[in-house]
Amino acid sequence: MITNEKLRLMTRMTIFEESEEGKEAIRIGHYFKHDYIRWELIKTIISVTIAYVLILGMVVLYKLEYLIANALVLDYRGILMKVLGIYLVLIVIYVSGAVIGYSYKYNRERRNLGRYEKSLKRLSGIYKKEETK
Amino acid sequence: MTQLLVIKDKIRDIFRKYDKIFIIVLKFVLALIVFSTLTKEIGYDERLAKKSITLILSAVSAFTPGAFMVFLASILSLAHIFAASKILAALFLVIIAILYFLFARFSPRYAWVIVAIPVLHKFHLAYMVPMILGLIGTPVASFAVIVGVVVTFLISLIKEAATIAAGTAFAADDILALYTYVIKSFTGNKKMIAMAAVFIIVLFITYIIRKLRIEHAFEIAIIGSTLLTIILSLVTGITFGRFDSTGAMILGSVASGIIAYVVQFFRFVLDYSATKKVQFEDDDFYYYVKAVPKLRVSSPEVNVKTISKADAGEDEEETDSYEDGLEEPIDGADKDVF
Repeated sequence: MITNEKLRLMTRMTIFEESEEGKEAIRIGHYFKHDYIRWELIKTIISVTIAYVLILGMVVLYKLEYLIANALVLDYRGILMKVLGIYLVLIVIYVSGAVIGYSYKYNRERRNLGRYEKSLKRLSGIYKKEETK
Repeated sequence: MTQLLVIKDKIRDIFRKYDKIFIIVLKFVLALIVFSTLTKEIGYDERLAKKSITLILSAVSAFTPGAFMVFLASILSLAHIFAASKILAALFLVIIAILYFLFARFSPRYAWVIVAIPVLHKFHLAYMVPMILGLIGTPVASFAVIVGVVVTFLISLIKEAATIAAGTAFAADDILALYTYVIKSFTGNKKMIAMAAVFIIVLFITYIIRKLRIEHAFEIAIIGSTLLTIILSLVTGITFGRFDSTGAMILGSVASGIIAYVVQFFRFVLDYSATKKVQFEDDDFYYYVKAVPKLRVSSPEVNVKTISKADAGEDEEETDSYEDGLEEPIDGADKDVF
């Protein structure tokens, strides 16, 4: 049986599902919060590491003449500590930012999904009522 | 004021009728501007600099998501730079990769900013980007703004370096010298950092003001951000060197403010005007539904009857709050469910 309420609910839910906002909310809704954040953190750490390696490569190339000229007297340990130190600082900044940012995003998308889920429940209730009639 | 809103409503009706065509045409025109400017600035490859290529790429961009145009612009840039100098192309690729991994990947929704800033900078209108982002976006867009500003300066630098590279043999010394020149110019570029800082501050301040629960928050945000852009640009110009001539900066900022106002005035048109055609099914039926958004200001026939000033003021307030209500995409009739 077609009723206005069913039609209204189904139409609005479909509009939500097909919207950018809805697709993102549904996609994120499949994850638990800590799984989502953990996955995004892994991607962030990998991205930052790749970028850092590229930057390091560019720095080495930039200072190549100096490095070759002083290859025997360089304080390799000191350089390594500095390189690792900067990397760690970068990772800490990005990880903190990512945890805060993706936490906020997850909560926001869950809120968007909340109304959709309530509609789903109401629609499900309507179908159950129709079946028992 | 009501007249303006009625005009906006009429334009929205026209848009609603032809919305798909409008969007395709708009995307085509924007892509044409982007690719033409790109070709004009760094069109080193004669085959790719042809108008037909620009038209084809613009046509493709008209029918694909915005981020794809950014991707096409990157590929085209890389191809042109490769024609000028393989070293510069490699450098360009590495820098773009670094920018992507450190910044761009965090604001994929604002990928368009990465091409908008360099292109608009040519017309002294780049200032509108942080203003518009503050009005219709979120602070997350700062990442895209940083990439956009860096790309702007990178392209200028590549242009300079390309003239040097033209006379470069592929001896290791020459390659290293060119590379060192580019990196030195890039990392020592205080103007670039200043521009990025100004844009991010303007974005944040605009965002904060428009989020305030006061009347005319948007208008105050636009005026505030225009003034802030001018002041900050003057200050950083004195300290680090101008990234635009003073006259062009002031005119550009004011023009950006006006354009930002127009964009914000019409932003609901783009989000909510489109008639939605949806299909779904249940156990018994297939449904083909056409949902026409119901966003109407009172028609003039009703408003003309308003006599007292107090009543006119009330109507305007209702309209304002109605517009504020449009921030919620689903109408508030039933706030818990759709």
